[in-house]
Amino acid sequence: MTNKRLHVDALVVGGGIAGMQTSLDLGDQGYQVALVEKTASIGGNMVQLSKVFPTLDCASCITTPKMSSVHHHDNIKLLTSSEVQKVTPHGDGFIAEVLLKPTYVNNDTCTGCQKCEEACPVDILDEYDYGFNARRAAYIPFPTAIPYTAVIDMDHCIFCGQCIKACPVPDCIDFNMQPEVIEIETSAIVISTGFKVTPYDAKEEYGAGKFRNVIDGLMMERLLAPTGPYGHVLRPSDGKLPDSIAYVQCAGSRDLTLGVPYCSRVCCMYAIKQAMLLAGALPMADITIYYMDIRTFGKQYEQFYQNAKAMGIEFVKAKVARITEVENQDLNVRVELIDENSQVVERHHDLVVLSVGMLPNYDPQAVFSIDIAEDKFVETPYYHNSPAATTRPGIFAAGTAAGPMDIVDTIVTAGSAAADVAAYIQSHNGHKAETAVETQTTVAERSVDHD
Amino acid sequence: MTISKEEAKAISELMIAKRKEHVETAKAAQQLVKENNAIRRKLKKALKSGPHTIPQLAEETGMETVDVLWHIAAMEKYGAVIEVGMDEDEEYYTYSLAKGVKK
Ligand SMILES: Cc1cc2nc3c(=O)[nH]c(=O)nc-3n(C[C@H](O)[C@H](O)[C@H](O)COP(=O)(O)OP(=O)(O)OC[C@H]3O[C@@H](n4cnc5c(N)ncnc54)[C@H](O)[C@@H]3O)c2cc1C
Repeated sequence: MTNKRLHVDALVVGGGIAGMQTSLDLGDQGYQVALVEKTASIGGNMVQLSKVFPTLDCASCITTPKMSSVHHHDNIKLLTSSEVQKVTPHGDGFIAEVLLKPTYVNNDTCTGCQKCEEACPVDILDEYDYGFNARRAAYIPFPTAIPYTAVIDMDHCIFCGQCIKACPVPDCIDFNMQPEVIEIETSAIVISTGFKVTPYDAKEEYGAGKFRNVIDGLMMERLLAPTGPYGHVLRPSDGKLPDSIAYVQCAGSRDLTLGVPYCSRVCCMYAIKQAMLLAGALPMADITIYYMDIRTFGKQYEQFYQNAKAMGIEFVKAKVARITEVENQDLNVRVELIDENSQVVERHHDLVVLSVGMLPNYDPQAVFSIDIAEDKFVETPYYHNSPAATTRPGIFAAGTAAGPMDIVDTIVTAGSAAADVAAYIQSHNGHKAETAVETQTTVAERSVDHD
Repeated sequence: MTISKEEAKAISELMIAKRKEHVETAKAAQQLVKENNAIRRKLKKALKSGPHTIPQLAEETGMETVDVLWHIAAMEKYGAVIEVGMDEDEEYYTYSLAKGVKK
């Protein structure tokens, strides 16, 4: 345990695109920021995407430079593998107690050479690729991870010592590394803890989790990504190039039986985007989107939809009742064709993608004492005047922590949160912290000094 | 990296101590490595005779196609296998052992 205390103007919790953008906007204005991310790398969900609608820009080409800017910014202190455990009021601001979980690799000295990964004999499911490929027990989380340093997964380690032997940096791998707690004294807090997708196996009648060739939207993002698990879009059951791919819309949203009555706002657009990318990757494949209604609300989104139709993507207004597995692990999709007198037919596909929706990734009530709304996302009660404000003064929300939204809206809310934080600081103590770090009595070995 | 005898001894003592701290997970991981190695040996043996598709490997090894695909993807990621072409029907990629991989 330690009494290290970091003094900052703003604590940003969650290092997806929302948290990164908020941190950069504040850091660029001269505010000192601590960004706390619970996983070993920043980037969030966006870094896993293939390309982004409506521009079809490569997702990691946008995300990676931002990740790098955050890491190298003089005014941003990045704490990965870390979580806020407790927040207490302190003067006009707060003191947050942050747990730094051990990665068993010294981030300051690891060069990311991957020698430990090459030497490790343990292959397990790679969660970054949704289990479609393997990773080692000593591993770098993904090819563009930041920090680009290794992590030792103690739960899957056989303790053969090969990683230590292969590491060219003395004492870089430290099996005795301990958790550490530091305190962050801050004027304001931004919650940007993001979203997770609705469980793809929530609707039993769709067979996901049981039938290998029923996957969800994020899994398809990985199959489409150049750094994806197979290097091509292949069926997970047998490596076949799919010939007929179906999308089932609203497979996790607008569904009272799942407790998700709201529209997740991105699923129509990501399904259309993926269909267009698939048409490019698999020119011979038929692609069908079964939908209730298409919601293309953003700038250039309707044109994007029209382009997809012009490319030959088949849009069928239908309700999908059931998916069954047939010969060769192909799939029969039972649909009610709404525009054809509600006729019920079975259509054959060899890969089905469920357009799952968005759920909040984190419940901040216990630690941050802020309210959540009926939909369980962070409550932002002054939406029209101060969209980032939560129910507790000094605590703000950005991105999908506050509700389903796309990247464009996420960036907008991140800017709004940064502006609100700056205004809040000016109206309270009105000064910026001069340095991000002040170390008090310390008993831990892990350094929190700037890189 | 070359390490001295003393360093090797210290690492091995540390690993013995850590294994004692994590008995259950270490045992489970060890079992997994054994199973993976046995499967990889089977796949490498099959690939010795030339490029194969996933279903061909499954048939030759008696494994499920889904498991073959996972192992071949892993072997490709870590450099033991390469993709070399497609089958006649252009439905499946074919895979070979990478150069220099022990068969
Ligand atoms: C399949 C799919 C495809 C999509 N495609 C597009 C697209 O093409 N274009 C587009 O505009 N939008 C797209 N989106 C939406 C886009 O992914 C989101 O708008 C965006 O990623 C939201 O970013 P975020 O930072 O709010 O959340 P996230 O990306 O979820 O980031 C949240 C971060 O917070 C961290 N975190 C969570 N809890 C804690 C905690 N307690 N402490 C510390 N850290 C924590 C997480 O680990 C994560 O790093 C898509 C969504 C899906 C599901």
